[in-house]
Parts: sequence; C-alpha cells; structure tokens
Amino acid sequence: MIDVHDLTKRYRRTLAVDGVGFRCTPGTITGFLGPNGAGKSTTLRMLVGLTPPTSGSATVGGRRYRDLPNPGRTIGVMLDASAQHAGRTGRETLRLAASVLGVPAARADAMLERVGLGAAAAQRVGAYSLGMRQRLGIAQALLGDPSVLVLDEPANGLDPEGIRWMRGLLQEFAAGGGTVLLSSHLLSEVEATVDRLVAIRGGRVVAQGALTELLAGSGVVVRGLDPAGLRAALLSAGLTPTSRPDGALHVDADAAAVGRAAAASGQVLLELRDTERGLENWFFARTTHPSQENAA
Amino acid sequence: MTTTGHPSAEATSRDHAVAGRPTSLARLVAIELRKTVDTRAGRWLLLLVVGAAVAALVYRLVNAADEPADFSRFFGTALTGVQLLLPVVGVLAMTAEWTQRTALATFTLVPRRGRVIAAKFLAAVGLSAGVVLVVAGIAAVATLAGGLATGHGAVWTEVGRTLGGGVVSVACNVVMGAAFGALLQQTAAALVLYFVAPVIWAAAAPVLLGDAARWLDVFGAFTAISRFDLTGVVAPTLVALAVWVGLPLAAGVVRSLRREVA
Repeated sequence: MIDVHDLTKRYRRTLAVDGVGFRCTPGTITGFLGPNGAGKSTTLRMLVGLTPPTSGSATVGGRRYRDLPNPGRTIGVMLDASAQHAGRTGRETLRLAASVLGVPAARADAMLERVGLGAAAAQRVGAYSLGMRQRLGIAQALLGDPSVLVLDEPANGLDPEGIRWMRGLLQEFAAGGGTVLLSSHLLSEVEATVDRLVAIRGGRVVAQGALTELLAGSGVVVRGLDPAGLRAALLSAGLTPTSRPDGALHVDADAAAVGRAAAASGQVLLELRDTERGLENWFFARTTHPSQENAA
Repeated sequence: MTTTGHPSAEATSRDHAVAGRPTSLARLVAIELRKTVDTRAGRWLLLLVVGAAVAALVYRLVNAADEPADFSRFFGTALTGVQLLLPVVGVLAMTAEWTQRTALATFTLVPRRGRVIAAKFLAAVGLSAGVVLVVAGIAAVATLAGGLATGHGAVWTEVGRTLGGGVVSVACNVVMGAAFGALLQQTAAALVLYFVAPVIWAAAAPVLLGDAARWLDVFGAFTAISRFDLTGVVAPTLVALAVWVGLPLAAGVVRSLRREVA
C-alpha cells in the first residue's frame, strides 16, 4: 500500500510537484504517467526519502519510508538503472545489496537468473547495455522479496521481448498481492500493463482512476450490412451517428442503446464495439498544452 | 484490450507485514570495507600504497648504512609514501558514491544516511590502520633482512610506541581526507583541495599570522598527537584539528544528510 498525500516540492523559483496525492492498493499496478519534466521522478524520490518534500507526506504500508526498519524488505525501488558502479560486476552489485538487506548471497545469484542475467553475472556493469542495467535494477528491487515495487521508467532501454517479459513479471507480482507503481512516458507499454492511472502534468495530477473508467465514455463504433438503413435506424432512435473514414459509424452512446436501435429496425450488425480510443490519445488530450506539443 | 483488475481482498495479506530488521552498523562497516576492494580501481589504490612502502624499503636496504638495522627507522621510511597516499582512501570513502551516483541505491536501501556515513568513516579509518599494520610487518621483515645483510643485527626499541604513532599519524591524515571529501562530495575537487590547501597554508600562514600560525598548523598537530606528547601544545592542537578536520567534517555530514540524492 502506497499513500501519497498532498506532496509538494518547491525549488527556488519553480513548483516541481504541486499537491500530488494518490493511493496504490495491493494487487494493482498503477501507471504514473506524464511528459518529461512533469514531476514524476521528483514525486518518486520524495516517496523514498531521497528528496525532502516542501510539504505533504508519503507512506508505505502506513509508515514513512525512512521509518521502515529495512526498507528494501518492504518496498523494492528502481529509480535510475544507470546509477550503478561501472567497475562492479552484476553479481557483486547484487551481493552488496543482499548484504544490506540481510538476505543470503545465493538469492542474489537466483535473482540474476530470474531476470536473465545469469550468463552476464561476472561481467562488469560498465559492459552492460541499458536494457541489461534495467534488468539488474529490477533484480535489485526484487531482491528483498518486497510487497511493494516502485519503478521509474522501467521499460527504458528494453527491447519488445524485454518489455513483454517485464509486463508478465509485474502482473505476476500484483497477482500475488503485491503493489506496483511504475512511471512511464511509453504509453503503449503502460496501457497493456496497468490497472490504474495517475496522470501528471506541470507537477499536478490531471486525472486518476481505473484504466477502464478513464478510457470509457467515448462512444462506440458500429457497422451494418446496410449502412444507410442503419443510419436511419439510429436517427429514428434519437441517436446521432457520424460517419468515420473507414465507412463505419461512430455513435456517442453505449453499445446496448445502439444494438437495441438496430434490432428494432431489423438491421444486421457486422461490428459493434467501444471506440478504440488509445491511451495515447487520452494521454495527449490531458497532458499536453497546445504550445508544448513539439517541445517534448 | 484486456485489463486485469485484481481484487484487493485476496491480496492484502502480504502488505501489512513491514518486513526486515535494521542493518547493523557492524554490517554496514563490513559492506563499506568490501566496497573499497571490490573494484579494480580500489584494489589498485591499495596495491599502490603497499607498493610504495615496499619500494622505499628496498631502496633503504640497497643503500643500507654500516650500522644495526633499526625497526623504527625502517618503519618510518615505509610510512612516508603511505602517509601521502592513504588519505586518498579517506577522500574516496566520502566522495565516490556521489561521483559514481551509487548514492541513489545506497541511500534508498539505508535512508538513515548518518549510519552509512558513520560506517564509511569507520571503514576508512579501520582500513588505514590495517594497511599500516601490514606495512609494519613488511618493515619488520626488511629490518631483519637489513640486520643480516650488514651483519650488525636489528634493533627493536619502543616498537609499540612506534607502531601506535604510525597508526595514529596515518589515521589523522585519513580522517582529514575524509573530512575534505565529505565537505566537497566530489572526488577530483576534494583531492586537489586536500593536497594543495595545507601546502599553500603552510607557506602563507607564517607570513600572514607570524607566530600565531601555530594555532592553525594541522600537520604540527598531527605530529604532536602521533608522538603522544601534547605538553604545552594542547590548545593549539585542538584549535588546528577543529578548523582543519572538525569544521569540514561537520559541514560535510550536515550537507550529506540534507542534500537531495539524484
């Protein structure tokens, strides 16, 4: 369980994070979304005590991060995969962390195998690709067998196979009762992984809720055997269909109302589904100022 | 699109357990010691320190005077380079994680930063004492060899006092290195300041302050401490230590505790 309450960070002239609040519950994966510079990383650093907040609070399992007896046993954190000593091997990096966490060194080796770095364990981190460093960072986050995971841009540098792998890993973690908070600007990655969204722009939360709720309410797409007849049927039912470039109709109503109208007029439907309003559209509609569109 | 909403009722069991116990200070010190030797750079630095001692002893043996080999003089010879190089370990102890950015992971795992900093400090001082004792062992072998080579035998007077003085003297320099490292938190700048500032000060202070310069003579203070004789110089020694070691260390620790880790 992560509770972030009215968290604010002011640097001299700028308000980096402005009253951010959200909650992540066990068994869910929350996507923390926003363009670069929106305040995602600052919020996560405040959550884990690396940046002192100007005001507000954040707790993990009801306790402030720095009051956790051995934080890595409760919450696994990866904020920057490239912030590792280039001169240490992957195995040594994890064994040092295992020692801090008080878990057996053998668990470090097991985690390296689990993230697919078994063969690269004896290589120095300086020779790792960014994707390998992400895997090492995820291994380190999982090392203490935590119940909460916080990952900043975990998909960075992973190839499509790696992204699929990580999605499976996170969903398995949540299915086992874990709480996951991950930040991203890789929208397509988040859409397939998360249950909930917290979108942030300019340091403020602009939307949050369940993925399905946030994406709902944008109407349906319907296609009939007789397009003109279907249109007439919808109009007579008091609905307002609009034509789409692909020949189908878009109706700002739910599927039941459209289906009922078609059935009442004996229209044969070939297709009836929710509008494919990708998270990407949703995201840009909510997080981008018109003037900033080219800046990010 | 598939969305997996995991009902939280089935999943709350693990979350309430705030697991684990705090990492003990002893373990943190052991971890910091390990960090100083688990990279090539760290191992090379220590090899260089010991190598400098060996080189100095070999030179002394080759140019041995026609007299009994005196352990305290051999030890002193070996320690000259150690004294110069080992403070780098102190500087690195306090700067390396900021420069390498591993502070991010370190302070995430141990958010009570003061414990980590204390562990780094203790590890640096402990490692220095260990290196000095190793060097003392090498110096002892060289003394025996010197005694055999010249045929005059070896002299072992005040071995305990000599050893203690060596450890304390090196430890003082390492602590000062650590203080400068903690203050600047940047390896290159801290090394430059550590090596250059006292030299410039030693040249400038007598001109600027005259006789009062002894109140800020940190190396004089170190010498007095390592001789275990503060007769008549207690106050100047304490003042010099406070200004050159205490102040930068305190300011550095406060800065480390408060600064943002990015």
